[in-house]
Amino acid sequence: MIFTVDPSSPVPLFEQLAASVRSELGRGLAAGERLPAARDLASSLEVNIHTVLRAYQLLRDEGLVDLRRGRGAVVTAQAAGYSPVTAIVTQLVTEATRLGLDQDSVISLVRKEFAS
Amino acid sequence: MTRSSLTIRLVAVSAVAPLVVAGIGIALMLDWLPQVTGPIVVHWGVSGHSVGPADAYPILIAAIVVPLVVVLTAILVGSVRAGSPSVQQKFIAVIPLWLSVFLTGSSAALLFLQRGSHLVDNPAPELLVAFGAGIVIAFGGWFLLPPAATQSPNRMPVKARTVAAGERVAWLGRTSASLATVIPVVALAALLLAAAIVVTFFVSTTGLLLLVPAIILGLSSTILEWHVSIDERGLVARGLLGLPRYRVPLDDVANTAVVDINPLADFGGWGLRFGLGKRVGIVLRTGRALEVLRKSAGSLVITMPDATAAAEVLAGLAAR
Repeated sequence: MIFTVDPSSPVPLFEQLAASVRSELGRGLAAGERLPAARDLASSLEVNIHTVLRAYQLLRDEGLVDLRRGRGAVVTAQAAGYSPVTAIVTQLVTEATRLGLDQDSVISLVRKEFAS
Repeated sequence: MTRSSLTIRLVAVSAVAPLVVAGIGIALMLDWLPQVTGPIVVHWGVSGHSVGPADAYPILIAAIVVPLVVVLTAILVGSVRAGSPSVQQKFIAVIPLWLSVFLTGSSAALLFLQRGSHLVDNPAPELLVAFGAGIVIAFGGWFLLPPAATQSPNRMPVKARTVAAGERVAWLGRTSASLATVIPVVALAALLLAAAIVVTFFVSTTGLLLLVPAIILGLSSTILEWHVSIDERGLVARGLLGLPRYRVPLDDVANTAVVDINPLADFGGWGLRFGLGKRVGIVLRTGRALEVLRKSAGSLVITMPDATAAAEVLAGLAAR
């Protein structure tokens, strides 16, 4: 699983970590797969372990992982169904880039769709 | 070399040649049998020898050489693919040839010497000569086969992931053997442990000896799952217990690729494998693997389903 964080970005680190996991779900993580131990991930990315735990808690609140003592963070069955959406988002971004639409216009289009 | 022509060459060395040797040996021995008048020595041990019927010799050859040839050739044929054979495949191919020459040659010689009512007291010279002849002929078989491949076939180069300045990227994952591999190993270890306990308590303390294979198998089962991390510090692969541990620092990474691994053909089996040229393989399943060529000589191969992503991240970090 690929994880990326950019400390210079205004987006909080735990949000960035959660986004990494969401995009991994889009690449097809199966239900029951375990995310790396928080300690290992924290030391790999040189971030605080609480940052990783906060990201995992956020994902749990979204219903994407189960947090179990001793087993760590496990991908839920619900999350495994997440991949079609991510695939469409990837396609959306590719198309938007091709047409020269910037990030803000695409996001406002998505917002409008949600509002309707 | 195409798959079928390589198969023919391998089968010629691993099956045809040893069976011809065994066949000639058995025919000669059957021819000499009428000249053997009494029982002959069939077993030599520290406490002397024991005698048996002379036809034990050809029966023994047929019973050992033929099944061995069949099993090893079947394994070999299952692992053949187009291209050059691997060192391991060539090795598997010449083992039956060596064993056939060794066993058939020594048996035929010992039977020949025991015609009449003569008994052989010390079989060491015949055994040694046959052993050496087996090695020489196996070497001949080795050179009849095409030269071994020096690299993994089906190497797929990867596109290094672009790592922006200030960005931190890591790949973390675990890779494990399939349940079909893990269950028998763990079950056998548990069975041996149970046998050790039962024998020790109810029969004798020699049952404690059963603990040795139980512990070895138990420890082996911990290298059927590995944790792999790729980050700023390089690549680290560690077994379930944290040991053994392999580390490739980023400045030691010469090249990263994805390869298709056939455990038997490429590494001669599963588990933690060591090949020629300081090549280390963490070989848990057939299929995709991450291959890291090291600047300091040697390479590390780890089978994993997500090898492409891992290779791209490692290549990206190493390039930065």
